[in-house]
Amino acid sequence: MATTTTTTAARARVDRLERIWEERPGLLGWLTTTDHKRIGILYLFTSLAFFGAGGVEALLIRTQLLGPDKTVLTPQQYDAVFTMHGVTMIFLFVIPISIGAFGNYLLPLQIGARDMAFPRLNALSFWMFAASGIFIYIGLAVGQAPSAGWFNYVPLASKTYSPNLGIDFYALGLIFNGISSTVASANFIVTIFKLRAPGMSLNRMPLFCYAFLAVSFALLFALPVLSVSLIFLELDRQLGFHFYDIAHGGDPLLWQHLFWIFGHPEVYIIILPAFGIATSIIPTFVRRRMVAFPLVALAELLVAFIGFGVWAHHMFATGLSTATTVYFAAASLVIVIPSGIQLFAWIMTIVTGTPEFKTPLLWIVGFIVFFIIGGLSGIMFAAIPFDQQLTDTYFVVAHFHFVIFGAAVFPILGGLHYWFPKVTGRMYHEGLGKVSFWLTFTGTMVTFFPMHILGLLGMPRRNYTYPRDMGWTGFNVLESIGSYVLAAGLVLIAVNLAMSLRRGAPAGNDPWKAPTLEWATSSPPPPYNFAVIPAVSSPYAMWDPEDREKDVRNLEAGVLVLEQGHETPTSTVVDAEWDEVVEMPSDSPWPISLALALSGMFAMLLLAHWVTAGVFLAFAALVLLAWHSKEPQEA
Amino acid sequence: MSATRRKLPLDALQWFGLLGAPLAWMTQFLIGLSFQFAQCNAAGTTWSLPVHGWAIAALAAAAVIGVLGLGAAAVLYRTISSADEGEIPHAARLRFMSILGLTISSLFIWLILMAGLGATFTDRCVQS
Amino acid sequence: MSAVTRSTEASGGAEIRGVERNRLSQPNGWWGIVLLIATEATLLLAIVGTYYYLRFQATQWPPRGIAAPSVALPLVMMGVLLLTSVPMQLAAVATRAGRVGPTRALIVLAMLVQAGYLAVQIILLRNDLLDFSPAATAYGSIYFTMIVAHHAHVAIGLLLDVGILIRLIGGLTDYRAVGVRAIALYWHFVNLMAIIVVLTQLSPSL
Repeated sequence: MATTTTTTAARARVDRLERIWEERPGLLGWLTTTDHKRIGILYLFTSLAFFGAGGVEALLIRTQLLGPDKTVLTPQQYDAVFTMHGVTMIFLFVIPISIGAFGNYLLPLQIGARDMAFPRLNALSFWMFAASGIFIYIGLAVGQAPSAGWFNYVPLASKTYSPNLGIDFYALGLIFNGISSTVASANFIVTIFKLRAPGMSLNRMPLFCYAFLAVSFALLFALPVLSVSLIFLELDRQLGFHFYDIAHGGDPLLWQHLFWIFGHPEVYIIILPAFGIATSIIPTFVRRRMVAFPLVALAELLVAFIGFGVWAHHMFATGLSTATTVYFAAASLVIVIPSGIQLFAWIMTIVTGTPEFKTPLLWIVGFIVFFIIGGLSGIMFAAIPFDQQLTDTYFVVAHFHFVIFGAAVFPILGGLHYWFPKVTGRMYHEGLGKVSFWLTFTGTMVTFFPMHILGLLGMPRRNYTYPRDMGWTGFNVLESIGSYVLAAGLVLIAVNLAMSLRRGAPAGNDPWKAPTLEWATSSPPPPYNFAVIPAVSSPYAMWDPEDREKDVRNLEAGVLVLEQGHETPTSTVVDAEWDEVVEMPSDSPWPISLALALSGMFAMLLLAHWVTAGVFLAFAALVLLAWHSKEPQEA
Repeated sequence: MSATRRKLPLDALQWFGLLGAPLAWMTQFLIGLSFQFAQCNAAGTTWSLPVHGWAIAALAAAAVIGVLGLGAAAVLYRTISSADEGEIPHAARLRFMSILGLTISSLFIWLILMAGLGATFTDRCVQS
Repeated sequence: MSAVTRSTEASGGAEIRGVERNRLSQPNGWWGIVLLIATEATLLLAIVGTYYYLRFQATQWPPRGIAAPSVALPLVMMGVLLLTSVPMQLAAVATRAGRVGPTRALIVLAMLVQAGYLAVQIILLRNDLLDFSPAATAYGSIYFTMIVAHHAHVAIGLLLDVGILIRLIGGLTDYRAVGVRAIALYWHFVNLMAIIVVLTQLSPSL
């Protein structure tokens, strides 16, 4: 624990906390954990495994496109590979790593809490995520992967044109995955609202937390619409309903509307945690507070909110009337303003601070470069005539890889380096870190920038090959080479971090002299996070020395130590006035059991065994009853 | 002067400044689109809905609420700025929220105008 | 510090009342159910929105061969369900006052009416299925999906009622008291959605 235990009273309190919060050892401990840090680590490694799978799929695509008329993949295999690549990267990598790994691990620490508001629900969301990923990959393993693209348009995805189980794996897997993210987002919102350290009023909450508040609300409202679209699809496919079938009064565009009402907020869900990570890293490495703090906080919320009003910009080429599309074009143009506010704030903070370009900050500068270019190509699409020319070309592929890979993943990679010392207690190798950044940055630019040109030259996306005489070959070769360079950069990161896990220099509590509260405690943090709930009077708690001295005095006096049980304080939503002390549950077998029961149910739904699915659902209900029969103070 | 200030419902001003304009835009958006979908599809051959009328009405109502929201945020900002140290509880948080309200209301007024004027001046059910 | 409530330790009427008096903001469980309601409401509204979307694609609705829905019985049933918000809310009030006996009785009363409602709805559903099929037209698909989605939420509510009654056998703790309040809120949501769903279901006849 960071605060020095100078008196016997303080030491006794810390000893009591250590005993009360002791974790169950071994594998069983990991399977039944409800500790947000352990759950964050579980999410991290699982999502990195899926990143690897998605990366292999990407390299297969680029190898197939290395030259015209190649036969590395058949057309059917190509369709399955790009579909799995998209589904994996979005649902099984970037969202889980941002929210499940970074969010889970860091949020309670940044708000000065001991865990999330609903620790068992937190564990459930991990096990459901892992199960949903395995579920989808079983489809690939049995040769029935989805192959209609990550947005899965009907009628291609209907039973008539996709008769095998691939689309069912997709639909049921994503419903399952969606439940995981929905419960996680409810958990995040209640945690942010109620578990902030007393004194952390909304104007004193770190910007990272604002990003996660925005993301959580977006998930809460977007995911049900996806679930509805997928339920309709499964009803059409399995029971012969006609939601999307024009011959019987349905409409294929219904799928597009429902999917994109989810799908567009989804892409802001992808980028918002990255904004949060960037706004955490910049102040640390430029030694100054963020410029225009309130506006940056607001911008994060605005992007999520306005993002619900732009969905039909994915449908500008479907024949909707202009008077309809104008609503979406207007919102699509206005949404650039909050992003612009953040860019201005980040750049001005760097320029007016004293930057130290260590690896994490390099990743953020790379992120800013990619976000500017990707954002500009995105805003070009808001012009309807432009969009109608470039829809379904490589220009779109360029845009979204710039914003997803360049702008969402770069901060994740930077964040892995930034928080590596906190999670492991060791420093990574700085030299290797810089080399891996430049390799990845170059690889990303070389892979994805030429796609803008290819799109303008008319190369359509999702084609397994291209003709020799279109003038596209050179760019494709360049892109494929770029992808191998990119892959090398990523491998080097993995090597650096794996090596440093064993051989890195000891990090100490706060190697970066950073402003947020996770740096107040040891590296790695103890199970109870903080021996004393920190005193807070600004969003840069670690840069307020009087408050940190107050912590030492509080520990000695036993104020806000809460060592009578497995306890954390709750406070009011807006001003964080101390309200109650609540008990947190500890290890529980019920979250993983419920995830298993639901997995059984989804498997039976896939195979159209309705009664057996019902049996698994009943079993799930019994598990829920058992779960609630142990109240937090008993658990 | 400070007696009048103390009578102002600062929390209400805060929330209206933050939420008034966005909710007005959301309502305008939903109304405008509902009429578009109802008229510009097959069912539109069986009725003739006042799409433009509703678009203009929604634009006007939303713009008014947006401006009121901006006003609420502005009043809150001025009240906090001109108050003495410690006179108003939670002044820092209220000031923070008023800045958010000023920004959010301005942005949404702009969006309401763009969307509403765009819909008003384009042909009803034609893809141009 | 000792003045701050340790709410999860509270059990029995007097302690629960004390916790309720001292609380400055809604408990975590209340926020949890509010957010669950938000997401489920979005789900049901997306289905209702689809009904209208598909309706706007049609020149005749319901399609030829399907009768417009009869109005009287569904509206009466809706009214019956709406009434159950009263005992559920009274149960929430009783639980905040720490009175477990009335809490249990009110939930049982509400549950019996809710169960009766669901039973009648299942019979009506079966009758509708004899008239027209969800696999024949988009109208049938959305009609049945929408009402079954609502019935499913009623069924979940019944399971919640059973669950909390089982927990209340052992007396009242703050955890269970928050549970009662949460379930009451859930039922208000289900009942509000009943109005929207039933009016939509009956819209061709209204």
